[in-house]
Amino acid sequence: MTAVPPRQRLPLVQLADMLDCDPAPTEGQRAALRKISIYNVGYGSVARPMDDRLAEFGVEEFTLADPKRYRAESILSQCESDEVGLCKVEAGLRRLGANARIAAFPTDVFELPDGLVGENTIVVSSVDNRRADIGANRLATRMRALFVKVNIETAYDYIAIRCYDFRTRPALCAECQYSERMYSQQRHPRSCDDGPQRQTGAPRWLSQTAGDAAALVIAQLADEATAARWLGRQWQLSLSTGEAGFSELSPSPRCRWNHNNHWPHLLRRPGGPETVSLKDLLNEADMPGDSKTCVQFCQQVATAACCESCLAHLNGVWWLSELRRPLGTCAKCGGVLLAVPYWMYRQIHADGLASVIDRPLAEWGVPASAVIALVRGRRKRSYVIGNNQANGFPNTNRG
Amino acid sequence: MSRVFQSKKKSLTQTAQQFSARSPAMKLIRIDACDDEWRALVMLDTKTLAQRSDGTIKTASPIVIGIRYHERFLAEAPHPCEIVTVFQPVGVFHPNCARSGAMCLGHPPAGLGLDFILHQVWAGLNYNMRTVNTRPFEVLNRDAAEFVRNNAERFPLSTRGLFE
Repeated sequence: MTAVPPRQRLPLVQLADMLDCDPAPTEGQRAALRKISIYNVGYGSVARPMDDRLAEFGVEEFTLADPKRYRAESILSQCESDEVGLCKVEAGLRRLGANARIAAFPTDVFELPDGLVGENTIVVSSVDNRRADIGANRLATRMRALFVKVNIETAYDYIAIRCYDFRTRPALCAECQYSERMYSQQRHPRSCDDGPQRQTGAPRWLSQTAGDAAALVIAQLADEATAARWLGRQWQLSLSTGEAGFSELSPSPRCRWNHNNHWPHLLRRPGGPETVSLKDLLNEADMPGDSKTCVQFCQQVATAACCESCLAHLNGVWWLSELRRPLGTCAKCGGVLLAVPYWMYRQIHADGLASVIDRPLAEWGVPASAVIALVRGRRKRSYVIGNNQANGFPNTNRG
Repeated sequence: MSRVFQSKKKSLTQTAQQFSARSPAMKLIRIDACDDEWRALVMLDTKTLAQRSDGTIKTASPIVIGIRYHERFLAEAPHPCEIVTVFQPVGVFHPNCARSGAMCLGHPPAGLGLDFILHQVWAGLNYNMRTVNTRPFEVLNRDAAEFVRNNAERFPLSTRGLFE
């Protein structure tokens, strides 16, 4: 009979026994960990101890995305008293920044360009809202990355870690296990009232144990020699009973996400958005900028804006990472220009972009790490602008 | 584009046409359905408030709105302000509408239906106080929220339903 573990952070050795792996990564795993980058969707009570542990194991690059700040209640679950009021990712930058390259974004994952997921990136979702989970799953699929989803269930002292491989045609994604109800429970974090922030209230020892377990799993995943037994499977641990085990994840033919939806023939360009125009990309792809060439974006573009003060309507092209963010100032009155939602697009024919085709991408708001795809008939090319450097963003210590 | 969205586009078009046929106050102006999006322009024969350039607040009619439905709305909860744009009256004066015309629909769920959108817009623009949010710091137009709170007896502008 399995002994019930005490309600405290489990020692790494005991956890490694349950995971059937070594508590310290092997030399091969350490070498692999130095080459990977971790993209955290959610930097909360689980991701924080997980990243601390991964940094110990040798991971040198992290991308943190979480829009929340620590509140007084967070002291119980995840932060120190002097961190209350601080953005979670800002705290992450301080904790990990001395020994690792960090890009910290106090935003929703949907507001970040896809290209932040690099070639050797593992996307890790440890969020308490369904929408961000979906966003993380889809981001990893589009960028053909490895994806790890960490769940804790406070009521049952339960931890689950699921691993997905989107590098080649995946039959399985995290949404395969979703029911209709799970989709309908989502809420967008930005409304007129910005919505209530959900508080998980998970005990710190449970989150820390989940973080440690996820770090051990990621160490196994990073190394091709040990990755296979984790992919497409779930590892779960019930701390109420002490039982741990694996289960196979099964693909669903009714999954709402197209698993083959990825950026085709993705090329990482060295130059940032200041040095390249849409015409350069079209020339590189050998496609003319006419109505038969379709341009797809990882975020939205607006083709009309309205001045908040004088209500003048302007036509143009503006990249939008967030709908309510000002696009610029009105030339007539100096008022704030806002996007007109009806005229927003994820894809548009190249001739509709004639006004910006020769201009550097940065001039119409394209950020570093944005992904732009060009499609003409069966020919498809995608470009990451800026070679996965988080330059141009605040809160980064990456070069 | 997925097959699911193809059938969703058909159902959106059918719903829009049914509403237009059934409602004496709604007229479908046009529908555009491209690969990953469905758009419709709709005229509503009712009044709402608009602020003129001289600052005066008047009722104005008819209302023209644009509805945009993207494929990803099927599974991702959309941004509440990216679905509906009020084109007319210009300068719509409403606590839940930005001056650019973007209208907030609260917390729309993933896979929301066109019937939900149309009824919500109708109730909102008629100032049905069950749907209008005037709480300070939770609105897109604070002046409009204050105006509505100070003139609560004037609302709703119409008690008609969309099908009445």
